[in-house]
Amino acid sequence: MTMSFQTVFNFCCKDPYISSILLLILAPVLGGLLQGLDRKITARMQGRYGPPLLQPFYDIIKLFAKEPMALHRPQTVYATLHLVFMMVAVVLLAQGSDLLMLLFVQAFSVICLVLGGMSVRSPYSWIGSQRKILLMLALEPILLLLILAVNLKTDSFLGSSVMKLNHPLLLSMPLFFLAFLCVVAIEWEKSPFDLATSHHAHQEIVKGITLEYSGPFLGLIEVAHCYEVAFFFGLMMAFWHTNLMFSLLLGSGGFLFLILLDNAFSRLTPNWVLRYMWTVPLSLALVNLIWLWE
Amino acid sequence: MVTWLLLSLIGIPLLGGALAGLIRHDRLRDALVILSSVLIAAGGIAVVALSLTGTSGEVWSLSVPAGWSPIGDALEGIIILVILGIAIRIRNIWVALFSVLQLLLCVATYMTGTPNHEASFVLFRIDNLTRIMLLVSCCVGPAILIFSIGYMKHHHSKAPDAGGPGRFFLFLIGFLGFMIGLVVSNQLAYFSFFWEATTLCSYALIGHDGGDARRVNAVRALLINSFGGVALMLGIFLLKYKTGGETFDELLHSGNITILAAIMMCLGAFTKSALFPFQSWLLGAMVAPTPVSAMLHAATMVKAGVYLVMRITPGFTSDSRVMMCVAFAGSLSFLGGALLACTQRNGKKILAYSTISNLGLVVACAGIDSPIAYAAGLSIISFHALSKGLLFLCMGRIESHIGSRDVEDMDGLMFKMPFTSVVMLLGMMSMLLPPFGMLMSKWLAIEATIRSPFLLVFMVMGSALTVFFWAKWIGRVQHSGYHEFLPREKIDLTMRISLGLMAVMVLITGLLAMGIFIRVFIPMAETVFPASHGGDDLREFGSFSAVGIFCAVLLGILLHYLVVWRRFKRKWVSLPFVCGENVSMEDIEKNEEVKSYDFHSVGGKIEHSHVTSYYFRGIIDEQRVSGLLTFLAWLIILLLVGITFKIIG
Repeated sequence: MTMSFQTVFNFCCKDPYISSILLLILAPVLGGLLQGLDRKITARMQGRYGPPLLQPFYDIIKLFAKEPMALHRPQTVYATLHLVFMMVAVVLLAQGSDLLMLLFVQAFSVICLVLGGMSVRSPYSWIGSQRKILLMLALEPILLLLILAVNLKTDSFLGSSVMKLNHPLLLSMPLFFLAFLCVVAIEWEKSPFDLATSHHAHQEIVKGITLEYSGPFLGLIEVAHCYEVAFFFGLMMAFWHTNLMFSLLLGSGGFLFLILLDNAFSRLTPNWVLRYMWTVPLSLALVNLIWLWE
Repeated sequence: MVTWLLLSLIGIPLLGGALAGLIRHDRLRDALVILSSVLIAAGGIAVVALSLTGTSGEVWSLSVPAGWSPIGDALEGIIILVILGIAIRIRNIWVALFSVLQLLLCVATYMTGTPNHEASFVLFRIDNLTRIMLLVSCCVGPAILIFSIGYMKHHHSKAPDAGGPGRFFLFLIGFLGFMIGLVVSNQLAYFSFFWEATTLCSYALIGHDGGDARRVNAVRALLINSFGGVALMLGIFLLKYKTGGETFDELLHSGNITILAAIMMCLGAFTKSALFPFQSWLLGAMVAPTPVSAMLHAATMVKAGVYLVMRITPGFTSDSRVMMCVAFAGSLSFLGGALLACTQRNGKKILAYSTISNLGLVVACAGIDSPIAYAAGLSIISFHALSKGLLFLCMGRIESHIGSRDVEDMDGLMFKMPFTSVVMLLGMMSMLLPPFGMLMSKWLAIEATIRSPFLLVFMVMGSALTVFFWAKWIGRVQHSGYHEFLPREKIDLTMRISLGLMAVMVLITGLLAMGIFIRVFIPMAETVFPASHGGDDLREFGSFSAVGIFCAVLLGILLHYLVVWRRFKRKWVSLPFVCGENVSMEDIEKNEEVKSYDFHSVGGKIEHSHVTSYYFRGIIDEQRVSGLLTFLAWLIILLLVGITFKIIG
């Protein structure tokens, strides 16, 4: 059986429950591996050895074994909701459902994290959350335009309709891919967009949104981050849906580019991010959209 | 049967309002208000249910002999004279001018056209659009009335010319009667009578608390709405002059000439719904007591404007340029309202801008030539009325408790007012998330925009901005420290019942949103757009299992409750991170004002940190952006009118 996106979609449609469970187990594994690879490559770029490849998994296991600490009860609910909505988003993507609803679910997952950061009396956490909603404001128009562009190509909002196209999306939406890379950089909290929180707690607001989370609750957020990494990697791959090899190449290419970006640039200010995202990537997206218009 | 119910549905609020105005005794008046509310709610639901005899799309109508037509003109004339009298009393030249123009147009309408003495005409008409408006008015309105009983007890104005509770209820209850009359009227003279009457009620209620600022804002509302009235009457006159028609049916079924009439009426609708460039009156109207803001300026009166647009949309679907302009005007308001709401700290102003934004979205949906968009517009009207009414009521309660409208002062509200906070959070969440109706409607509206390229950009930006200001506010309301238990909030029984009722309505309709959409709104839209455009089918529009998502979330919450919430221990609680400079227990015990989250600053001084939200200070100036948007909106209106003139040749 040739492994391709079509077979995956068919499997998901035939057996929604089993495929969902398999997906929910495999996706964070993929996300964690990608994160481990990220840290290894970044370390090598910086002339270090770097942690073991499976370090993210060791970290998550360690977090769950720690004593729980929180500031109050609602804060913990938001961590759970963040994880649940991210899991739902991954399942929806794999089942090829409505892309716009998918966007809203993923956005709502991030909003849950933001609300969790704002629900506690911590100045750093509050500022991190404010910056995160600014970042979301910066990237949502581009994602919405991307979905509308896919509709122009396929006449449908369903993700599975992309499968019916003969040519890969990258060929007709190259500028969108570039804009999408910027979006993924923001979602993966890569420098220059690591304003709200980052991998390392050495920014002016310490660790930002996730500052007041620790122990198992931070573990939940880290697991959700694994899902998020897998989610966007999958979306990058979808730009070349016709051939699995090329789509993996494309995804890896984007991934490596983002690591390079992370190491090369320093952090921007919130206003700068908003101005940049609403000019350069948004214009690229609009131009590409006009190309696709009959 | 339905006739009598309908007549009493209009008559009871008017009668109840009049009695409430006359009664001096407080408790008797309260009882009267409660009685009226219950009767209105029951009557509204009964009328809707009983008028549905058989298939959907069924239109119930009441025909009356032609002799009733001059009565409508006379009523119209009387109300215009009343407004003219007010204009003379307050010595405002522009309102007087507009009233005189309206009077002239009214007389001209009466005298023109061929009088047809034998023909009867349809006076009242209940079709599906009317049913939705009736349900909205008769379910949300009474809840707001009940709330205002408790609210007005604590609401006292210090201004010397403030009105008393009697006057308040006279206009508030009476307004409901006028609103009901407005949505069922088919004959245009009666329609404009009810329209002007709502303007009058709005003027009276905005200025209710007295004082200079309120007087100015009331006059501004009267001015802009009078201008809208002139546009409306011009449209009615044009219709009668060109085709002799006097009712909505005739407006919709005649040819090109009536497009101009329809556009004039649209202009009137824009003023009533406070879209750009007419938005200033709604923002100024926030000085009114909160039940007024909830009733008139969120749930019902401004909905009259978009109701009119929805009703006359079929009249100009023939011309795509006109539709495009209408959609543009709507989406400009959508974007502008969302943008300016991000810059506001005043809670009521945020809600006002959000209302303008959503009403703009409805008009944009009406302008997109698609049954899905039309259905989305209908559903926004319904869900928005519920949610926004609820939010305004909560805002009123919060304002009367903490004495401030500033969002930044709502810090720690969860502990001070738990019941109101939870209800408010429910209201705000219902504007934002799946599966509640507002998000579903927005989802469908964006999907329908694919037909109109330029609207895309506006919709997309506006949608992104909307999330921004709601998230900020939700975060601020929940911002609190650790508490073992939440205290029981002391709140008036009427206010508690009203808020609880509205919250339950929002919750239930929210959970059933998708089902309501498929079963109610789509069939309605299909009666308006019978020739299906390219086979847009909801089934085709992307299926996703809303139920599945909801179950997954519920499962997650349940697991969380079992594993974490119930086992939450006091020893898990720690203090926020302030670089290790947290105050110690002795500091807290020594000084009462020190809180557990304070920190030691330079020299050991104890400091209290407070971080505000992001308001785009220095980047977006409300005056300038507002001015720019108003200018652009006037350009669009000029474009609209110009294109219409070009079409009719």
